[in-house]
Amino acid sequence: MKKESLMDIPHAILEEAMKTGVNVSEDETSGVFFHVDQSTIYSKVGTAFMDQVEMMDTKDALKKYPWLEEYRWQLVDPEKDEYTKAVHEEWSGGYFMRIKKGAKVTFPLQSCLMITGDKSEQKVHNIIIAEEGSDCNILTTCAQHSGAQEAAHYGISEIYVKKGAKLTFTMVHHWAEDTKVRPRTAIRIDDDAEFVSNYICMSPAKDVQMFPKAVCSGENSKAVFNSILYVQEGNWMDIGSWAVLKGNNSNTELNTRAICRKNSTLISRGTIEGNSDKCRGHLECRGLLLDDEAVLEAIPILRATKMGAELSHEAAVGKLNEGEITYLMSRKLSEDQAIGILIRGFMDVSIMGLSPAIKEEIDKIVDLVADAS
Amino acid sequence: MNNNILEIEGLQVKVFDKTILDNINLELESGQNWFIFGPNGSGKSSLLKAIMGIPPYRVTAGSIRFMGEEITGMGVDERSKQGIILGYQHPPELQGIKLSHMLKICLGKGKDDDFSEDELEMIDRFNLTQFLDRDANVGFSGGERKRAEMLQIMFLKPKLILLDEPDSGVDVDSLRLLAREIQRYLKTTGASALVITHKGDILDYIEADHACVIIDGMNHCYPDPKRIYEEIRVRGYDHCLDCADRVKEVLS
Repeated sequence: MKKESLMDIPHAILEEAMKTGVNVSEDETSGVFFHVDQSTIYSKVGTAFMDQVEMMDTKDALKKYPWLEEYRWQLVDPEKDEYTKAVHEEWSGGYFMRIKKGAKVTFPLQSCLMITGDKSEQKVHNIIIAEEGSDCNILTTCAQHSGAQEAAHYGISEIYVKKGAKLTFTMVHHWAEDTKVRPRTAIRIDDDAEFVSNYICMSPAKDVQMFPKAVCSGENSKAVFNSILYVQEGNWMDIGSWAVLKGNNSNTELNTRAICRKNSTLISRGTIEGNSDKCRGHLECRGLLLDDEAVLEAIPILRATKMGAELSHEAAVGKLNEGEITYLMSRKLSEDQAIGILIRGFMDVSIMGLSPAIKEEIDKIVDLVADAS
Repeated sequence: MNNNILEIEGLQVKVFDKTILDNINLELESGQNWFIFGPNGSGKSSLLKAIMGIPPYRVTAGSIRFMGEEITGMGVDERSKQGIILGYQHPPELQGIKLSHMLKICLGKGKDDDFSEDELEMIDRFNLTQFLDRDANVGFSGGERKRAEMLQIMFLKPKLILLDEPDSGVDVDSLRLLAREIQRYLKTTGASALVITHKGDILDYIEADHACVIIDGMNHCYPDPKRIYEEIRVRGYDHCLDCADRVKEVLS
């Protein structure tokens, strides 16, 4: 049942959402959206932002705007795999966000998709349209209430960044240990537009596989993917990002920082396709193994079809640098202190411009990892 | 008890199975400063690293005593806590660790503690104020790296400073600044220093008592550093070898 005020949302759900960085103070957000299990329970845009953004359940949006069908299943193929097929057949809604032409939205738009029921499958379809010249931050979190067991989340997200727009899309995953997660995301970036994705997954999820694809179709278009991953006991994650450079002078950066430990597997993929006469792309993956029980696989792929494509990659996986540990020890630090500081440094995300709440949450987890090492 | 801060006796150092230093003997009185000369690859840096306990430099014979205490069994951290600090020739780039954080570590402060006014003034004197929020050494020029390294050493308040070519890769102004700061520290605290150098300019700023030349993993002669440097500059290290051979003959 839809709630009128954030305060009507059960406290346990709000608390879980706050762990992922959702700000539940309506004064500091431009809008808040909650989809819990199979229904949208809350969707509200702040009064000051009503001229700038629209946010509602995708099913409601399709009724209100028949033209939205032209954006649905355009970037993601419903026949792509069993998960897209499943959502195509049956879905419970999702968020539709529209940032209006020229709007500079000063506070983030927030959405939280949450699973609270045991053995439940959540299937959502999200559509975001950042209209011409707009600028907005979206914080979307996917979480599972600690009481729920053996859940699955399949989410389709289609994102359009139109001419001259800038969209920063921060996604925080906060799943429980036995969740299966299959997001299917695609983005189209038009002339002079920029898309920045920050993906953070620091809590255990049994099985995550995702490979969002950004197509820089416009001239001077740009896509940036930053991923911060902590893969721990029993986790299996196959995570990557894929940028296709079609537009003249388009460019992309893919950055991953990952820490793996204790019987976990991370496959970190990154693909850049350079299909324009003038385009640039760089891929960087740095992975840190904290013991011999985890497996970390980095698979960078650069594919150029035009001579003018400048593509590069750096991938480094392994343990902490012994020389750096010794250097810190020569500054009166014990070996344990030196290792802790290097791990914190490795996971430094200050360049990503994340909100203080998310940064604090990441720091807390990194502190736990560093102290346990 | 003697007044030696450092005593090295019959020191042999190996890296894996290769002998890098053999039969090194050295006595450094408290408050004394020594320069170490020697051709490239002769083992100068290895000696400083062995004193600091940096792997993979392994002491296989002889002893190193610091303030009368044997230190060869101590880890790098224990030695630094005792007061021995090595200024690296090539300090590593530390991704994600701000210079300000490194300086606070050296001062024994927490990450969120503030610098005192005196400390800020010193940071400014080293022309490092604008680098505080940058990752330590990442993208720093040679001179910037050396200034950052030297300031950390000052903040660590060592009793014995080991400096590995503090004058390499720095311009004339930076060298003057660094050398004067080192001299000021040594003078005011009574600390000692072992300084490796290939150049003579630094001798104008740091007052040294002796110098030794390391050739082929062994050390020779201990007179006036400026005289030794001048001999090396004019006649090269081959002359040192000839000289050492003559000394051996006389002694035998």
